[in-house]
Amino acid sequence: MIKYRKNIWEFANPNNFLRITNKITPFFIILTIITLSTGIIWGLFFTPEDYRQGSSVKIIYVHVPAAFLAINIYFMMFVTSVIWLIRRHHVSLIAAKSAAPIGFIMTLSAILTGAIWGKPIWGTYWAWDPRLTSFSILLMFYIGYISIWQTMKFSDKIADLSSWLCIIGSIFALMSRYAVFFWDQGLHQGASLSLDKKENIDDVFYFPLLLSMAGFVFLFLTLLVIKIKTEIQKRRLNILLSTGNT
Amino acid sequence: MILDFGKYSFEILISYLSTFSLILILVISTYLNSKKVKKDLDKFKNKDPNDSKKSQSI
Repeated sequence: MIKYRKNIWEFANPNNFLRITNKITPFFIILTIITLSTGIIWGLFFTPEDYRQGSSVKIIYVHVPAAFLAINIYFMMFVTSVIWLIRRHHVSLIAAKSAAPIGFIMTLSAILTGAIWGKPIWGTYWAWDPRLTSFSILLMFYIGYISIWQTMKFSDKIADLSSWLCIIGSIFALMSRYAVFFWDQGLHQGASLSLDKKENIDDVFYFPLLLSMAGFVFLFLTLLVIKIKTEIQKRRLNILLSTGNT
Repeated sequence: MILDFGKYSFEILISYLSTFSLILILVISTYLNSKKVKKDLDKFKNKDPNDSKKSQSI
């Protein structure tokens, strides 16, 4: 247990983080290419039509992974923001900041593909359904969080402010995940994936979807690691420039 | 045709195109930003050979 904890906090040191991630980034890139291309090609070309939704069910292979990441990236940002507020580890703050644009793109993609899918199935692009509404609020929180970092210069105060905003927004991330269980009146159906096999979608859709989700997760990890590395290097450069100028 | 998915071909293609266009923008911007910062850092290091101690402090 002690060894595990020590290993986790080794990532808090930027030099250790860079050393470890330099080694694993190529594997993440390879895994992204393999899982994402296999999942998408399998889902798009080798799965049958659904008996109710017809071929529109093929949108599931981009919609569900994007929505899954939209919620879980925000949850990751929540955890790293709490770590920043409690332990003041800069790498955790940089991780939250770097994850935000990826989460924003995933939320936007989930909303767009959901709207395109909704039109033939529900007869409308948009409805003020609990899950759709909580997703649009989540998108606003992503925009707010990114805006703070884009418009203000780095300081501990700004880092605290962005972390608190992230913590408040996590309520909506949680709502996005569980809205379909809280309210029954929405158009959106229940979760596509469940630990209960009876509630799951059929295996013929399930396995390519899992592969596609794995591809999106590896894509997120690859982009996150590269973004964190870039941010660490940018800070080094800024410090070098400021010490060089004085 | 390989991209004919029946009645909902348009919806499917637009969904995939929009998602992967957004992802592509993200990947390209991440790559270009990383290249730019790395280039600037290398340029600075070449200009100031005594910076190794400074970078260790960050």
